[in-house]
Parts: sequence; structure tokens; C-alpha cells
Amino acid sequence: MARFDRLEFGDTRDAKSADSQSNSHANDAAPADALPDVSFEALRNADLNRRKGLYENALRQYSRALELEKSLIAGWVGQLQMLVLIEEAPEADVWGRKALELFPGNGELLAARAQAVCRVGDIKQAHALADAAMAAPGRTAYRWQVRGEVLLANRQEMEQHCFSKARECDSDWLVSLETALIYLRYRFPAKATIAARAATELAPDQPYAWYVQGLSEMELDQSRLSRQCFERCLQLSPHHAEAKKRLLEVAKNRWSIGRLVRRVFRPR
Amino acid sequence: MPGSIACGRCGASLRLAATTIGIHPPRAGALTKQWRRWVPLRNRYFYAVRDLFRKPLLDVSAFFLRGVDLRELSSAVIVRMIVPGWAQIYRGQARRGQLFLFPWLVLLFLSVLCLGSTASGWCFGFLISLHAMSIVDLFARFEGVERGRRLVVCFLVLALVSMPYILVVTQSARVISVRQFLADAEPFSSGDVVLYRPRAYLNSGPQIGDVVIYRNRPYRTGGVNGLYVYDGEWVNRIVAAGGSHVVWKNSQLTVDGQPAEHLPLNASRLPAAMEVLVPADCFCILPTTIPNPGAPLDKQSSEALSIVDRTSILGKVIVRNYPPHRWWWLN
Repeated sequence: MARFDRLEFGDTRDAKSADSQSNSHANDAAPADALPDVSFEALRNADLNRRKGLYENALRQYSRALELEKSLIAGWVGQLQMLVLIEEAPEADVWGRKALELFPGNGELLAARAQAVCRVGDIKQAHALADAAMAAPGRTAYRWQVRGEVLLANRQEMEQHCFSKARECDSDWLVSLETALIYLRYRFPAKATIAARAATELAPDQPYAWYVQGLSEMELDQSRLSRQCFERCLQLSPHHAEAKKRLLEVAKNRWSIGRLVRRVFRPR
Repeated sequence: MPGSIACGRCGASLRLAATTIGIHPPRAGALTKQWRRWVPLRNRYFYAVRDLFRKPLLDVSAFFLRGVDLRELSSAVIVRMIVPGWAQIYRGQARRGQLFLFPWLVLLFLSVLCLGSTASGWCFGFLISLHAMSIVDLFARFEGVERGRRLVVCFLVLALVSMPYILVVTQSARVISVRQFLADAEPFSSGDVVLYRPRAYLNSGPQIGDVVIYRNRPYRTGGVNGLYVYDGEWVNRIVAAGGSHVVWKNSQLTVDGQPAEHLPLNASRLPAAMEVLVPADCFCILPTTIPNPGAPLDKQSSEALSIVDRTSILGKVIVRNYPPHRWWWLN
């Protein structure tokens, strides 16, 4: 009977045939089993670009992954994260709303939208979304990270606990690095430096980690340390244009009234 | 279950593979990002203020709109209230909407046509009343709402709708001004209305041949019947610029010895002969439209009243728009 065709009885052969049937229905032109490989390859490329700080490229790769497989939640979440990281939070908010229409109640998407809304400035809604993300089944580093960001944006003290929870969930250096970026976004350079140092300790061969640490040190007016970080970044990636630019900035480091004012009004 | 469009456990759409979904996110241009950086209109303070006022506003609207089916009072309906009858047509009451819309358009046309006249004022008044009636009619359709509340909501919406009227009137007054003639002054009669542009000469000076509205310097002259004072705003054509030598003789106007290209509006009222040397920064506007209560203007008065300095020119006249049967493009 047709209504029992899709029930799972543990018969892998039948399940595979059903899967291939649905995939071929979705995309007649592509071979059924080749499709996920290509999309996961795109996701892998996106991740590689993300680890290099090439967020535009990463966004393109996430979109490519979704072109091949629209149900990849990682692709949707990645797009939202990249939009947020390239300072396009209002667009991320719109896109997050759309993604949540397709995957209602998905914890990662809720967290991503919370981050976008938080960056736009609607802290109240961001709180609600972050709470909803935490209430959704499963625990991931990203949800803890977003919760920490929302608390940080609201100048609440508990953000460190959330970031350490995020590190417990996932020991990847990228978690520490993105935590550092969050701290930098909200002008907490001291805490950003600690998180960036954790990232460089975990992955001393990653130029982008050194670059972010350099940025944090620079914000703290630690010229010597920031210069060292940018130099290490350039050792690992000699064509890193941003690091070269920052290194020049550090070299030309002179007294400025803007920096003085920033130092006086620094939150912590 | 077969046929379900969403996952029973997580609610995810099961139609993703088969549907057309855009997978490229919206992007902000470089200019937009720059703009956001410099003018952060939507920041945490914006949302804090919004949250502060949201609840009281919702409470107030909930009090007044209790019983109203808010689906009927959607933003689409509210926006369409800007034109009477449009909201009714949108809600499917085409006939009723047309009853408001067409008279409103006619009144709008008449009030623009006769702008500056008393008739225009009457038309404008009727126009606003009609607009109010259309809104009241719209709210009268919401059943189950107390009459008092309905009235308050009507007034609130009316106040909102009147904003565009106020905006149009105040802004148009800056672009086009109106003058009504209070006495006969050929070719104008008492009650005639002219429209002029007060800002026409902000960037460039008046040109020879322009019909302008100007204020003459008060000029006193002794007549047979007493003392006459010529003071007021008049409309006439500029015939010569500063530094010119203007001569009117044998019914011919010459400027610097050459026949003039432009004659004043009512040349028959000029004296038999006159001669004017126009000072710099002044214009020659012959006083042929100034009403003369007693005897016609003599040569000396005509010459004195012909010189108008730049600051006395108030604007460029466009049209005599009232009465409609005397419609006349003046420039």
C-alpha cells in the first residue's frame, strides 16, 4: 500500500533505493549519489575560507552547497553567519526569517537570527531568539556563543560563562577565534586578546588566528605584541594583504587624540 | 506520513527538493554599508525607544479598536485612505468608492484651476469634507464598535490623513504664490487672480520680456482733485535692463535707439512721449497697469514709476488663472 511505502524497517537496501528515488526526483540532471559529495565539498571549502577569514568566499561556497542540496541546514546557518561577519546584519535578519520559514524551530537558525538581530540592535528580540535557540533540542558551541554575544551586547556579566561553555562543546580553535571577534565587535579588546591567544595556542599554524590576535593587541595599544602577531601571520601567509596593511599602521603608530579618547572611554 | 508537507518531529519542510527556493541571500551594497556606518538609524537606542512606546501605543489602540476585526483595518487599507474612495474600492465596495473618488477628483481639479480665489477655497473645503466623510464611512462599516470609540478613531485617522494636505499646501506655497487684484487695472480686473513663482529669480536675474510682479517705491503726485500716492504691487513686463536709454515717442518704444522687442502689457496707456535712463541694478517696467483714480499718469510720474530696482521684483508671473474664462498664460 502506498501509505506505508516510506516506513523504515531497517532494510537498508530499500531505504537506499527510496533515497536515490527522491534525489533523482529532486535533480534529474545530477547523478543521485554524486550530489551530496559535491555539496559537502562546497561546505568544506566554505569552512576552509572561513578559517582564513575570507568570509565573502565562504558565503559563496555556502550558497553553492545550497544550490546542490537545499536541505543542508549547515549551509543556511553558514550563510547567516557570514552575512553577520561581513557586517550585513539587516540582510542576515531577513534571510534568517526566510530560513526559519523553511526550518521552523531549528536551534542553529534561531541562534543565527538572534545574532543578526543583536547586531542590528534589537537586543530584546535577540534575547528571545537566543532563549528559543537554547530551548531547541541539542547543544552546540554556536548557540552558546550567540547567547554570550547577546549578554555582552546587553552589558551583562554572564557572557564569559557562555563562551567557556561554547569552548567545552567544541574545542575547535575557530570557536575561540570567533569569540575574540565578538569581543572586538563590542570593544572589549582585553577579553578579545585572551580568546585570540587561546585560538593561536590551539592552532599556531593558522595565519588568521595570528591576525585576529594582532588586531586585539593593537586595540590594547600593545604595538610590539601586535607587530609580532602580524609578522607571524605574514610568515605563515606571506601574501596576507590585511596583515601587511596593519603592520604598516603599527609601524606608523603615533600619538593620536582619537586613540586617547577611545582609551578613556573604553568599557572595561 | 505520506502527503505531509512538514516533518512531524521538527517541522522542517519536506517540499524543499521539489520547490523553487532562492538560495542566494540579499546583499547590501558598499554605499549602503557606508551609510549604515555613518548614520546608524537602527541601533540599540532606536529599539529601546520603540520598546518603551510600543506597549502604551498597543494599549491605546487596543482600547479604541476593541471589537474591530484588525484584518479589515490592515496597513493596506490605512495607506489607501490617503485618497477618498480608494480604500472602499480596495475592500470591494467599488461603487461606493467611486462615489467618493470622482467628486473628490473634480473638486481637486476645480480648486487647482481657481487657485487663490474664493471659489478655490470653497472647493478645497468641500474636498476635505469629502475626504473626512470617506473615512467616517469606512469606520462606520466596522460593526460591533461603540460609536464614541469609532468617532475618536475617525478623528485620529483624519488627523493623520490631513498631514499630506498640510504638507502639500505649505510646500506649494513656497513654489507658487497667489495674488488677487483688488481694483481694475487693465488688462486686469478686480477679482482676477495671478499665480507667480517667488523663487524664479533665486539663481538667475530677471530677463527682458518677463512678466513680473513688483512693488513700486511709494510715489506722491499732486492732482487737480488732491494728492495721489502710488504704492502697491503691480504686474507688468520688463522692457529694458539697467543702463538702457528707453524712449517712447510716436507710439514707438526704442531701447538704446533700437525698436524694443517687448512692449508693456497695456501700451495704450502710456503718455504721448517719455524718456527714461535706467540706472544700473534697476529695470524699466513702464507703469501701464497701475490704476489711476483721477487723471491719467503724466510724463513725469510715468518716468518716475518706470524705474524698479532688483529687490522690488517679487517673482515671475505664470498665469492669470481666475476667472477661468479669462485664463491667460503670461510667460
